[in-house]
Amino acid sequence: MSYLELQHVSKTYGEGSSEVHALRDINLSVDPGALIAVMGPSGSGKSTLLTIAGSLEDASVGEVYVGGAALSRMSRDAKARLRRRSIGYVFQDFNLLPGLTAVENVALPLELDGLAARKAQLVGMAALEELGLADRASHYPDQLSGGERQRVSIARAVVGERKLLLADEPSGALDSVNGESVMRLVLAACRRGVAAVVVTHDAQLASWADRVLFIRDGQMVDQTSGSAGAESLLTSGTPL
Amino acid sequence: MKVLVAIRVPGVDVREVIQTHRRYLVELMQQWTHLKEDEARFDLSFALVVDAELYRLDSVVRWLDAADGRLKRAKFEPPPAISPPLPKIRKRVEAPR
Repeated sequence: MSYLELQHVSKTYGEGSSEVHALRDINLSVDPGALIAVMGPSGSGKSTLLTIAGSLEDASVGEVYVGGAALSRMSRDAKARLRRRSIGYVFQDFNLLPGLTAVENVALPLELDGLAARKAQLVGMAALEELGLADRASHYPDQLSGGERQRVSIARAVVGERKLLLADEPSGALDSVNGESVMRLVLAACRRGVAAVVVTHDAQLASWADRVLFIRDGQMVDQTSGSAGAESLLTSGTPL
Repeated sequence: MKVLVAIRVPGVDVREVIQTHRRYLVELMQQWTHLKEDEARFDLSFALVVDAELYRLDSVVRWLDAADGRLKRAKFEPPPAISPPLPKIRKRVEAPR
């Protein structure tokens, strides 16, 4: 069963002559453990799709299901709880709180969800250790490199029992080496059962996904088949 | 080259041609990336070859993105399809009996 499902989702901003159709009739389902990339140019509706999937914004038409529950039937409090407990977000500009250390940033969603500060920090520390950032736990965001900041934001996104990871251009501000390590972390989270959606204009980033969907002018226009394995490179005659 | 040809062929949606080519390239990139997923079993020389191929394919995708954007900005419309002229039907003329 899909963990995230979008059914006939459309999003319109404004009215009359200023009406803008950001999304048109989007259908998408993401199974637990799957990594899906949504690829498209700037202004194609990628980020809108992600904010609607993550319940940060409502669809104008259609329905979004997260963990089998319809978002349109949830109260604001229930949506906030869902976001705190089940959904992790990764943004291009990291969105770490500058006044908190790395481990405090990671532990914050757990504390907001009622876990005692000490316990939350222990869980946060374990998440940082897993990402090789234990020695940076007490550093503030401005004392970390761009790659380290993004790894901290991934730790924050997957800490606890998160089941859905939504990433908006997660390596946009990073060099290719750090971009690759960010995608390895996202992939590792998926292999543990997390469902992930990454939106990007970067083909190298998208190529880490199990399936790549192409969006243009708010519509899904195409997707990769995802069926061919690497061994087909040996038979397809692709020159090295 | 196929994009240049496509903009001259009547009835062809060049942006569809671009998208088909883009999808094919991204599928190839997925296959190459899959090879380097398991870093522990990754030979350095092979890693360099895989990276080289990924950057080569990526550069073509970027060119397709640029071409797609240029066509959109230019509001390019494909030349209308021209239907071939119908063959002339000869009138059957019957000989007077």
